Amino acid sequence: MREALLQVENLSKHYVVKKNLISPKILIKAVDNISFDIDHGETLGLIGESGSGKTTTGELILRLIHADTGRVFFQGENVLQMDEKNMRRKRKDIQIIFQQAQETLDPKVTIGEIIAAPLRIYSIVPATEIEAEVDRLLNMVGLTGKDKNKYTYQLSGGQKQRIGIARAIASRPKLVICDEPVSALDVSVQGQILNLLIDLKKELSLTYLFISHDLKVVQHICDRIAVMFKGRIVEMGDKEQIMLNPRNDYTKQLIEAML
Amino acid sequence: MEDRKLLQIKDLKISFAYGQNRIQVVREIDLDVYQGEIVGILGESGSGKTVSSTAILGLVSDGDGRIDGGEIRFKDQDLLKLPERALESIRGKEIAYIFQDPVASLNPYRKVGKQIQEAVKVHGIKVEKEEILKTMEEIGLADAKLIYDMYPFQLSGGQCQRLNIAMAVICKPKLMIADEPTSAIDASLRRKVLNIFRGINEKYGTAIMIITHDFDVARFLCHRVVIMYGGLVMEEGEVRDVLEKPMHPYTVELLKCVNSLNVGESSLYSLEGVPPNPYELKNECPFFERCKQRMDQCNQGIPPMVNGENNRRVRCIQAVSN
Repeated sequence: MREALLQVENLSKHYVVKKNLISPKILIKAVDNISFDIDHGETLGLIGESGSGKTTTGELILRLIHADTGRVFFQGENVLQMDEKNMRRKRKDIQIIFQQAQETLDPKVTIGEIIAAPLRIYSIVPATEIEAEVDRLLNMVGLTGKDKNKYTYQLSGGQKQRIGIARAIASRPKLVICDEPVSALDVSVQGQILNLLIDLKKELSLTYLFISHDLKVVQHICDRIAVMFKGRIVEMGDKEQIMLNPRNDYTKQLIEAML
Repeated sequence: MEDRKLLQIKDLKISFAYGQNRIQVVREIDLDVYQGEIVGILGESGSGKTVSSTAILGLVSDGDGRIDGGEIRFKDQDLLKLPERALESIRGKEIAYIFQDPVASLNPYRKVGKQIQEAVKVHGIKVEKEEILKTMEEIGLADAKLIYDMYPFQLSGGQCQRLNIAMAVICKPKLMIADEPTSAIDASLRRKVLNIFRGINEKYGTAIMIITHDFDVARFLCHRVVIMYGGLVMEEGEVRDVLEKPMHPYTVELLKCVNSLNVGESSLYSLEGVPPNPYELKNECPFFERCKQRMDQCNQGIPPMVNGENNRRVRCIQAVSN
């Protein structure tokens, strides 16, 4: 019996769009009745083109936007039905790493404060130990305690993403949603960040939902792959099975387009 | 070889205003494009590849940018010295530019057919609707008749990209510059779009300059590649020579990163350190900080370009001593 950490059932998010006063309303199915599980310690890759609903899926799970229908069970509890207070507590266990680290880090506070915030909010360590914990987290992501007085503008793209990762793991989450964590990075630094994510996963027994448009990256880091197309999951399976024996036409196109 | 040069960039220097100071984004670029070739300009973000290519069409000096020196020769004239009006007759007609964001570079308020007609009319070329439809079909827009009367927002990124290419092709330019033509479109269309460029090159003999950070794109499409870093050309040569026998330590390291992911090594290879900050460029090899083979001389000024066999060029002291 597989033990799922996250179970997503019939999740949907539709938008009604009206282009102008006289045009008819159009229904856009951003996420259209999708279901999937992620096991403890597993990395599930969510791949698809821009607009296919990958990011929306991640945001629905975290309730950053509200789902229309469906259920999201995290450790057996439906997070979509939790009240706001409990949900806020739940986010300690479900964290997210964004594509544009720059835009998700407050430019006006130091790096030390950015990483200390989740420690304080979720009371991860006693107040007296926060500073030491920040140092420890910085070391884990390949930076040093000396960096904690810097501001984000003093960092490179790769270093900013390391801060984004440190903040995500600070609350000791069980599930981390990685939304295109390396696609804004240069080729020479992509590898560092992917290695770091893989190492941290082992060290902290994390589970990842890894959202990406890059099949090469997904193939490297994921155990299973789900392919999204126009809001639906059109194919899902073990990495080898998807890469070597794709069934869906869109999946085939994706694999054939690899250079 | 000399008379086959279509475009010659010599000693190009470009800076941007930054507070009271200026930052040098392009420090010294020498680059030739030969007739009928596909050349790839490869580099990481901030290496100066996009800025150098927009300078060809005089698109740098509008805002804070300034060309501090050099020349860009196209058909016996220096594009940098041409008045705006003369440049307008070259832009689009002789040298076409395809921008990175295919949707943003179309007019959202005009039906695409009209847009193409207008763009062509500006250059004094008369084109029948039939020919536009034919071109659209040629580059893989199957429902050309339908699309002709649609607005950009009704089309996908891939379709918009093809329209930009159609608009460029229809003027039969001598040179097409495409900035990251595959990075804003769906991954499943990458190979198709690159094949369109190859088809245009083979059918019309159009020279194409592809600006990309992706070695796979270069390997798939280009005849020759130019590797940029810190506002300088670091290495240049036939694509096979450079990708199989890289000479510059930077190219060597970068290829290790790319190949590591391609073969799926359990621990990915990556470069230590970060690309040089354009605000803090020093008078030394820009790769000095990260180079594993660096020597004492490497931070004594920018290393000179060394010419090798088969039109190979490398900017590294080690290449001299070898």
